[in-house]
Amino acid sequence: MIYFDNSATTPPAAEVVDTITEYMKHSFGNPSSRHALGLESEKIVTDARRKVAAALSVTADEIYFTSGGTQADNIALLGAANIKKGKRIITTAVEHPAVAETVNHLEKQGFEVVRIKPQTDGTVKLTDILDAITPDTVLVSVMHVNNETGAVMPIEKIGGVLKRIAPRALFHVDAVQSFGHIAVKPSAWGIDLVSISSHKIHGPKGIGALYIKKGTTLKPSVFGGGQEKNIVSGTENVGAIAGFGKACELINLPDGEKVLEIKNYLKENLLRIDGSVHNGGSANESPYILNISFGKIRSEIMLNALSNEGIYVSSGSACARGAHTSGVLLEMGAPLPDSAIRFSLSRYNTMEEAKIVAEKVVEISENLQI
Amino acid sequence: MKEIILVKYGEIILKGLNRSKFEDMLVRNIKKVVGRENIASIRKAQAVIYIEPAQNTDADSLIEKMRKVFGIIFIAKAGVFQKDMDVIMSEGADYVIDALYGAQTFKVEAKRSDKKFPLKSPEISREMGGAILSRLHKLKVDVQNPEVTVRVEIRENEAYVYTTGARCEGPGGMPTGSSGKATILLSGGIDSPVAAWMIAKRGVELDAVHFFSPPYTSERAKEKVIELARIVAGYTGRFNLYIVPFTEQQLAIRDNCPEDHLTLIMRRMMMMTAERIALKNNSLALITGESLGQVASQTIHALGVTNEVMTTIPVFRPLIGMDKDEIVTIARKIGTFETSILPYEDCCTVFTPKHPTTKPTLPKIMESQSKIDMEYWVNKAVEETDWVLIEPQN
Repeated sequence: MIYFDNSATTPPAAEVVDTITEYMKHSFGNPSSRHALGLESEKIVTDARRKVAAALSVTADEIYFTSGGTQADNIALLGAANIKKGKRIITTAVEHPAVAETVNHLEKQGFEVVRIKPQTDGTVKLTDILDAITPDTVLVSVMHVNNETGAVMPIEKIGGVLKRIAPRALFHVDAVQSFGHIAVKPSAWGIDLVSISSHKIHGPKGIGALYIKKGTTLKPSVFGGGQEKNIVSGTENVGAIAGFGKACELINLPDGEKVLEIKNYLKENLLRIDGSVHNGGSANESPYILNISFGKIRSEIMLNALSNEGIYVSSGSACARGAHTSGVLLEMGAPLPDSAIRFSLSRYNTMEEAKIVAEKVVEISENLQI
Repeated sequence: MKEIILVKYGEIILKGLNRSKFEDMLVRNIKKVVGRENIASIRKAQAVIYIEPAQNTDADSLIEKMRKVFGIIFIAKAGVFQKDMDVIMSEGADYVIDALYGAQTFKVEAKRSDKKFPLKSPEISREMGGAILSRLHKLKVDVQNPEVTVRVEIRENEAYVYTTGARCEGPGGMPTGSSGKATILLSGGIDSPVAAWMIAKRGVELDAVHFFSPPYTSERAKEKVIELARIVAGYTGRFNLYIVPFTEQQLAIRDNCPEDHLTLIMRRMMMMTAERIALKNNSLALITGESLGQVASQTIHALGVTNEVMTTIPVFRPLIGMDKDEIVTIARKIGTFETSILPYEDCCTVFTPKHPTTKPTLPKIMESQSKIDMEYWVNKAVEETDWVLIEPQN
C-alpha cells in the first residue's frame, strides 16, 4: 500500500497509538471529577494542552480543545460574528466547507459576505483582501494552506491592517492543512483565532483545537457543563487529547525539506505525461500537496485505477465525498477540473514510493482507454 | 400481561383450493423473518394468524420485522385477557387507553366466536364503550368514521382487546416463494430496487445481476449496489447477486460501434448476459427498472430494440407507466432512496454518448452491433461472473 492521501487523514504515529492505548488501559477518569482519578485525567489534558501550545508558540491557556477542525472553525466564526457590532465578513472563495458553510449560514442571518477569488495559481492576492476591509468589518477568515491545491495564502500581514481599519474585528485562520507542516505564528502575525486538527498530523481523529488569543471574547455556540472555559462544553476526549499532544510533540518542521524533494520528483515526472497540468504552481506552495490534472482521464477513473494498484490518492477533497467537480479548481479557472488528482504527502512517505506512483500513473495514462 | 399478534392476509383468501398452501408459505416466511426462537406459538383460524411471542420477546420488535413480509395486509398487537366482561372492562380498557389519548372519536367493535359468552356482540361493544368513556370524558363515540377503533374478540379460551389504525398496515402482495424466481438487473439508481421490490411483492423470489466496470466505476459504487440489495432482501429474504465484470465489453463497444448507438448496444449485451445468467439459475423472467421515456434508452423505440435480444423468458418492467415522482415515493417507502442517491458513478453513466439516438431502428442497430462479436463478449461476461450471497439488512 502506498498512501498519498495525507490531506484527507494521516496514519497515526506509533508513539501516538502507544500514548492513547496507555491512557485507555490505565486511566479513564473524568477531568471534572474531584477525586484522584479525575485529577490524573486533568493532568493529562493540561500536559497535552502545553504541547499543542508549544507547537503554535502560544500559551497553554489560549488553546481550547474541540472535536476537530470543523468544530473549531464553527465555534470561531459563530462566536466572532455574533459578539461585535459590524456586518461585513471577508473570506476567500476557496475555503474548506467547515468555513464556507458556516459563513453561508451567517450570510443567511444577515451578514454581508465578501469572498475573495483566487488567482490561477490558487493563492489569493493580499491586496484583494486588504482592499475589502472596511470599518464595519466584523470578521476576516482566510485559510493558511488550501486543502486541494496546497496554495499558501498571504496571512502574515492581514491582522495588522485589519486592527487599524476595524479595531474590534477578529481575524481567523483555518490552519488545518499547514499546522505541523509549515510555520504558523498566531501572535507574530496578529491572528486572533486559529483552527487546527489532530488527524492531519498523525494524531487521532475526533480531536482538534482552537487557538483564541488572550483577551478575545467569543460568544459560545456549544452549551453544557462549561468545559474549555465555557467555549467547548462536553466531557473532554482525554485519550484523543493525549494522542494529539503526542502528535504535536513529534512535529519537526524541517521534515518538509525531504517531503519537498518527493513532491518535486513527482511533479517533474507526472508533468511529463501528455496533457497533464499542474493545478497551482505558486512559489511557496505547500511541500505536502500536489494537484495535477491528467488530460481527459476523469479523476474518479484515475483514482479507481490507482486504488486497484494499492495506491491511495484523492480527487479534489475527500471531505466532499462524491463525484462532483471541485469548487476550488473552478474558482481558480483550472483548465481540466474534472481530471484533477491530489497527491498529498507525509513525513512517512519515501522517494521509493514516489517512484512507484509516478510509474503507475504513467502506465495508467498510457493504457487506460478514454 | 400476555400479548398476542394478529396478522391478516389479503389476496390469499381468494385462492380457493390452494389457499392453505399459500397460508403455510406465509407462516413459514413469518417464522423465517422473526426467528423461530422468538415465537411461542403460531396458529391460523378464520383468515387470521395468531402469533404468541416467546417469553421475554417484545411483541413490538416482532411486528416491526413483520412489516416487511409480503402477503400481510394487517398486523396488530392485542392484549390477552380472561373471558370475563368485568376484567375486559377494567384491564382491557386500561390496555387500550394509551392509543385513545388525543383522539376525538372512537368506536368499539366486538366479535364473539364463543356463542356461550353471556353477552352478545352489540352488548359487549356498548359496555366496553361505556368503560372507555368513563376514563376519557372528552372522547365521543362515532360509529361512522371513528379516529380509533377498539376491537374486542371473545375466543374459545380468552379475550383479545386491541386498537386499529394506520400503523397496522402490512405491505400487501403475495408470500415470497409462491410464484417462482426472476432476475433483476440492479444498477445503483433509484428505479431498479423499486422494480425488484414490486415484482417480489407478487410472491416472486429474486436473483440479481449487476454490471461492474472497474476502474471506470469504483468499489464504492459496487458496495452501494450490495447495500441496496440488502435493503430489498429485508423484504424477500436472502438472494444471490451476480456481479458481471463489464469493462472490456464496454470498451469494445465504444471503440468499434457508432457513438449514438453505444448505449443501446450495451443494453442489448446486458440483457443477453442477464438472460443467460437467469437461465443458468432457473430464473423464469428478467426484471428491469425501465420507465417509458425516462431516458433515451427507454423510449418505446429503444425498448423494442433492446427487447429483441430476448430468446426465451419474458422481461417484467413494473415501472413502465410510472412517473419519476411515483417511483421516488415507493423508493422512500421501502427505504432504498437514501442509498440510491449517493453520488457514485455507475456504469450506465460513464460510457454515455453525448447525443444518443432516441428513435433507433433494429436494422441500424444490428448493423452497428455487427462490428463486434456479441456472442464472444456475452460468453466471456457470463464466464467471469462473480457471485455474492445477499443477507437481509440487520
